[in-house]
Amino acid sequence: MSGFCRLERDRSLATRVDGGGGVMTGALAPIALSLRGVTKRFGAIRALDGVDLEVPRGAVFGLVGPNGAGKTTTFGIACGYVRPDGGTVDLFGEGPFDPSKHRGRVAVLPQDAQLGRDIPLLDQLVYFARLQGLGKQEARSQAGWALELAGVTSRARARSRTLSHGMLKRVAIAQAFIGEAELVLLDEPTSGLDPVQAERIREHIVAQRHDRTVVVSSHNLNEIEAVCDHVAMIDHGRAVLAGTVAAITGKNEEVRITLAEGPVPLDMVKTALAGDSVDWDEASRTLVIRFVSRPGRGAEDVIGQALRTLLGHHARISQVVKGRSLERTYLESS
Amino acid sequence: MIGPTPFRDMLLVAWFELKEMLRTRRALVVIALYLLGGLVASRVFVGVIGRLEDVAADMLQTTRTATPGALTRQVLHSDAYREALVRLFPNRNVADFLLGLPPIVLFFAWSSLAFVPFLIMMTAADTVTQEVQDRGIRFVVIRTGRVEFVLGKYLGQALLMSFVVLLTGFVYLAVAWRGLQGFEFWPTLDGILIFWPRIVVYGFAFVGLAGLCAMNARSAAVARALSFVGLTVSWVLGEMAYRWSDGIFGAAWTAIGFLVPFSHKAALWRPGVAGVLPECAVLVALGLVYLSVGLVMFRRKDL
Repeated sequence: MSGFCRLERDRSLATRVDGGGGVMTGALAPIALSLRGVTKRFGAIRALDGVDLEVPRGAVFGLVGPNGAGKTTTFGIACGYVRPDGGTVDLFGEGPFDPSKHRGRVAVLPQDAQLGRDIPLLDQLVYFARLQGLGKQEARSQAGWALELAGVTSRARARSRTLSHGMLKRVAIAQAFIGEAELVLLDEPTSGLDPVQAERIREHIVAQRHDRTVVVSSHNLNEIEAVCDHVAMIDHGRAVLAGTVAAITGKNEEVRITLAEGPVPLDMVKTALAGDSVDWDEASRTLVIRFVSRPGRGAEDVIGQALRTLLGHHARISQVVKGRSLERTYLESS
Repeated sequence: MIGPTPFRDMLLVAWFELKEMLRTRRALVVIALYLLGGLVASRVFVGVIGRLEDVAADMLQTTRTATPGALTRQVLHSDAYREALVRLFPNRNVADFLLGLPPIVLFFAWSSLAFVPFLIMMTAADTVTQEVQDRGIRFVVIRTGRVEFVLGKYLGQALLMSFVVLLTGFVYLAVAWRGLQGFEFWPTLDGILIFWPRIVVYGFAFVGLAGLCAMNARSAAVARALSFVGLTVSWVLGEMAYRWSDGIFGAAWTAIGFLVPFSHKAALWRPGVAGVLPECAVLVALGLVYLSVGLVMFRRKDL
């Protein structure tokens, strides 16, 4: 098998392993990761300038921003790699990352981290699984599962330095899914992968929704929009925008209908959608309808009303989009 | 506090480190060179004994022996040699202990105590820094603490060093077996096994020193350089402490000497376990103190 594979996890690990190998019980905090006013300087460079962030438990959370915005530093602080200069970090309502408390509960794909060059892949993954608190047999089984997930089972005994960049990347992603981590942080998971592999990784991330919290950082805004249900935009070390993807892109507030050459029954649409704001952008031949969502009247209902009117007056529909794209929102906000 | 889980993690890291080192080309080359050095040194030692015996035979106008060792054995067991050695050492017990050991054991112990610090600096210096540099450490410290990681890494290095020293001992044993007449297998093996743990304990202090000098370095290359600087400074301080401990600042130099592993080397030649135990405890403590000081900084380091 080649490539990142769609696999059902071995559910033998039904109980979560904690730092001491015990079972975690009790009510779950609604927030998996919270950063409040976090600052960090590297010499003269202010990497984070008071970042506020809340990642709800069970969400697939996207972290976007330009190069140098502070995404990787945010990840580093969440994982305890980097010490913040100020502010508070909280994981599961239990304080900042502490390996004795969070071992096996937080997993990460670190950016640019290299696996040991001279160690067979299987040995490295078993080592990681054992350090997570798993027993020998369980660790071997989980390592085998991770290799299968990465599509490199046949290379289990190969040394890392003999593998391609793509294979190593997939193994590095798969190691983050060993065990039953509650929070998985993936820093640029699809960068450097071919489109097929990238798509498989996206599918795997989406499949984790509700089972665990996944935070994905990426430059690819279309990817974030497709995969994530929550998003935060970081720029110059601050979170400039955060919320659900639906809210940020206005999916329940705005509908855009692009028309091909032909009639534009604007007045008819305005009459049909009385109470909503209807604008016509001549340059892009797009009707922009802004509405207030309420029970019984969502985006789909507005689209239905608008399309009936347009088609009834022989308009030619080219495209219908709910809200703005994340990319457009990002460009407008930055 | 170190509970059962941190201890387990430390052992896991140490075992993985050992396996990794035995697969790394650079470490293997250093170890192979060290073993080769042991082989050459032991052969040179046998050769020198042979030449000395030939000279002695010529002077006495007797027949040269085919394999060296017979005359040396006679000399070592002579009363005159015993008296000379006793006068050389202030402690008669030490002289008696050394006289009871085959000469190849003494050469093994002397050469190992002299060269093990260099072996450690070459293999252990960049072990943590390299992982920080290539960020491989990030896969590990999300799963265990930094203390467990660092202690495990250097424990692995100590295990590697003890394995290499033992292997070198067997090289000496084999060379002496083949090259020396009247070779005494069991006393030689016994002697090597007496000195092996002493050399390992002595080496452990240098593992700690390597950690102190190198674990917070910016890169693996800087780590290696710093470890050799640390070794040199430690040796110079040891020499100064030895020479000036009776001078004006004698107490200060004695205290400095106590903190330097080189100053404790002579005590490792004492006979019996009880004789070396206090010094061994000091050396292990020194190694741990060095590592702890390095760890205090490492725990605050951004990875």
